[in-house]
Amino acid sequence: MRATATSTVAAVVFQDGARRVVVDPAPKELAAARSVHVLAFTSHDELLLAESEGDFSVEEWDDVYDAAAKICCQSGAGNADTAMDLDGPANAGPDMRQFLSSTLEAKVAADLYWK
Amino acid sequence: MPAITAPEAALSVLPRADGSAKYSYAGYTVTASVNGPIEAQRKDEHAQEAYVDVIVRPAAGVGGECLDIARYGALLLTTAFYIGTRERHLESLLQSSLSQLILVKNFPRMLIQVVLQVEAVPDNDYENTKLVQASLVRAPSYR
Repeated sequence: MRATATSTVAAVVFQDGARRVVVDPAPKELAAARSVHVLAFTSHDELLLAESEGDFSVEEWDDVYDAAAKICCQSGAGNADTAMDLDGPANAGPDMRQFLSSTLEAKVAADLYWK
Repeated sequence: MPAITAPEAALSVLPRADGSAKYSYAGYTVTASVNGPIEAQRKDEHAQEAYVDVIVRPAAGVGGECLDIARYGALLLTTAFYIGTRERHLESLLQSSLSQLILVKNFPRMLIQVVLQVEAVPDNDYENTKLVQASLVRAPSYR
């Protein structure tokens, strides 16, 4: 493997006249969304895959990119300042890289238990 | 509508595959298996690098994998390919992404096969499920 990859889905929803980026939209939100985007990042923070559906502007795509990069590329161990920030933004979504490494750590720990 | 929970993953769920994983998130569950590097068919063989073959199987239906052809003949051939368009598109996207990640240059003339089986999709009360859609599409073509 050259790298590992993480990905996320984001939708641009217009609600009450305001534009909003919804990460991991529910099927109902997907149906109502103006545009839907899938972005994947490698573990070197490089954009691997960007697929979009629907009408959107460059600003909207930039917002989607920032939201997706935050989910896929944040380094979980690095930001100790926010580790106890339980009142963070509610729709921030999961930390995919943290999830990937913790899953692999658990697997390696289980497999190497005999040592 | 299912509440969005944290993603879940299990590794090596299939004992006979070279690698496998099960991932579930937001109502979706997908099991993936990887086999390789194995011998490639002549038509897939590449002199410089490994060929990454991705197969996506939907939760309902055959996804254009033409298993029914022998039974229903050429009429269904078009239907089967029509149904499989979505999966073929996903496969081509995944294939180009995975080819960037896998060190394909290390395994010339070989095949790396990735199979993704969708096991569960979230219930959507506003849309027919694919099972219902499949029967709607196919019902007239049997007679």
